[in-house]
Amino acid sequence: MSTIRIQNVNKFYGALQVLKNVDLAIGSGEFTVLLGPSGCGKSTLLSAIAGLEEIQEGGIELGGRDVTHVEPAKRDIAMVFQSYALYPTMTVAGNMSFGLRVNRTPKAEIDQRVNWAARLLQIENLLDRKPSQLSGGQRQRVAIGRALVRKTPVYLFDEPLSNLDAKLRTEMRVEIKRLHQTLGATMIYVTHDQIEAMTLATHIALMRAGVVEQFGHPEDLYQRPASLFVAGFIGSPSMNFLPGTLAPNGAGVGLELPGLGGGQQAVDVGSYAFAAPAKAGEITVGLRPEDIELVNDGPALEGKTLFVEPMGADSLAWFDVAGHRVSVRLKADDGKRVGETARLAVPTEKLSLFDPNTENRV
Amino acid sequence: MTVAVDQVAVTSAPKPRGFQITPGRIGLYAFLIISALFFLIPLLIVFNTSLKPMDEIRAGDIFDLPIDPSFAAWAEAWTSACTGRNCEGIRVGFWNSVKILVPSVIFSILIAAINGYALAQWRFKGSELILGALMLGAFIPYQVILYPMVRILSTVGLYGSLPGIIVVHIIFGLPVLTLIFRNFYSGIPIELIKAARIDGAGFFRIFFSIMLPMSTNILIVALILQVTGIWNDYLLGLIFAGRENLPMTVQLNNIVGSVTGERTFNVDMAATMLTALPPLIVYFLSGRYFVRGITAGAVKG
Repeated sequence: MSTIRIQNVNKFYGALQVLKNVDLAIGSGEFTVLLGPSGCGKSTLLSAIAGLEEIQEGGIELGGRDVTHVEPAKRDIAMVFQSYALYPTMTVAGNMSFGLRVNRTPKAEIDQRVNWAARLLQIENLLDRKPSQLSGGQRQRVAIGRALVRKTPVYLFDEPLSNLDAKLRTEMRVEIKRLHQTLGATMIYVTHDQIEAMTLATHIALMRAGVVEQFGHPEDLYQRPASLFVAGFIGSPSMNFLPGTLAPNGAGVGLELPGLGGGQQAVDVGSYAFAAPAKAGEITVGLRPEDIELVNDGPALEGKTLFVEPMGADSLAWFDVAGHRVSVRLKADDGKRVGETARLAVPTEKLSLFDPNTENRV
Repeated sequence: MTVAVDQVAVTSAPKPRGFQITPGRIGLYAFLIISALFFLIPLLIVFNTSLKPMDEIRAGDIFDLPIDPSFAAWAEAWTSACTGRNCEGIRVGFWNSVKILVPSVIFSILIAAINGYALAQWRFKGSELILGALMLGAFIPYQVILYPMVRILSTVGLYGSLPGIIVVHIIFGLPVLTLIFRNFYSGIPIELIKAARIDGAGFFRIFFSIMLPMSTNILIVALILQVTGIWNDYLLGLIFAGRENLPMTVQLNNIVGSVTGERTFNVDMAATMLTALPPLIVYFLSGRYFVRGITAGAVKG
């Protein structure tokens, strides 16, 4: 019973529109990540859900209740902030119990909940310390604990891990995922880190310039990006883009690509799931580095090897294909055997095609 | 240069580092000592004279140390020095000043802190305008406001009374204090307020539970400013307090000014010392906080 419905939300800072027709339906118990580059409006959207920012148009429902003009305190939410925002004069226990004390929860209940959250986050031995005596990771745990003790149906996270070092970030990411599974609460999580998004989310809303570009399962965004922007933002290294030409013929759809060798002019992409019947003309082709295979014969792109980056588990090889830089993810051993030139097979089932004018998937 | 020296000192074996005597350093100390003397000598003369009997003052130089130091003049100044026809000493003024000081300080600081917090952390329509008005208020000379203030207070029946002078001190203290508190609270991250709002705390709960406990340094700065400012005030006390509530500074002036027969310098000086003591004590006790608070406000604001 803690669904979240965001309906056609528009928000302006003066003349600047920071949220444009944002429309999301988030199911109960989902872990939704608002992902996007700096300034895309993801934190503003989270603040609007929290009630910390007014919206000019549209509505927000939490658990079926219209809360568009309701104070943050009355929305039944808890939030974790990027800067932790711990109350510096209170102890850890004081920080965690503040919200409960404000709401006049009975003392016994407060103690029980604080101890429960402290045990869950393994900060029981820190309860009497002041925030200034804690490390960054400990502060983050306290900030999460402060949200947990409220036992609200909805938790909001505003880039909670971005102030931690890489190792700690990975640990806390796992911790947060575990908490989501334990509590089963609805969580909304803002980040600009696509790894965090991919690993944590049940749903991702990828935003750009106040617009939700795509909202769906992480695999959908990864495998079937709705636009060039989504394709380029998700995945590391990012998707390779090549300019091509579509030529539908009777039997299938021919795709002409630069650098196509082996006597071929085009590869057949008739099996591609076109949204609308394919039209002849220019097209942008997106290829994931791990979907490209090196082959000896058959239709393939002729590439000149630029360099190979060994990354331990695998290698990343970079090729020059008719003036375009293309990356290919290889097994570590294969990376060592790359010659001066290579032939790159086009994965006709796994590519993405975009209209170069609208930048949308076709 | 100094950084390099420090690093060497840290990494090599600990060696006592002597003072480096340079012309610049000598000049610096000379300037500091002269400045200190400039402010200390009058104080020393006043203190010195207050310990002498009258014949010694008549006979000697003001720099001569007392032959037989005695606090007799202090006792006289406190209990029986005459202000006009009234000979009850300066203690009357002392207690008047205390009665004016305590409520004025408490309320001006409390109101200014709430104002500063509201202006810094709760952007509302017109908050910039109010801030601008406060800036203006902080720089308007007293003389401009005196007459209108007298008229307003006499209209509401507070002119020449203890509540009247307290209200005046609170109002005159607000612009500067509000700006100080606003600058201090501007340095506190807004996310703290957001977190508290989500925790369900309202405007005053956030102020008293979260902001005020963080404000020790700036509260001490405000306390020093107000205690010394209000204690040393002469003009407002003279105009607004009324005959019954004249503060110590005004009483001091009356004691020094009312001469019957010979001028008793030692009593005058003792009364001066008594009047100057409270702010001096405040400075000595809290000077360290004062510097810390000023810098805290400056860096963060």
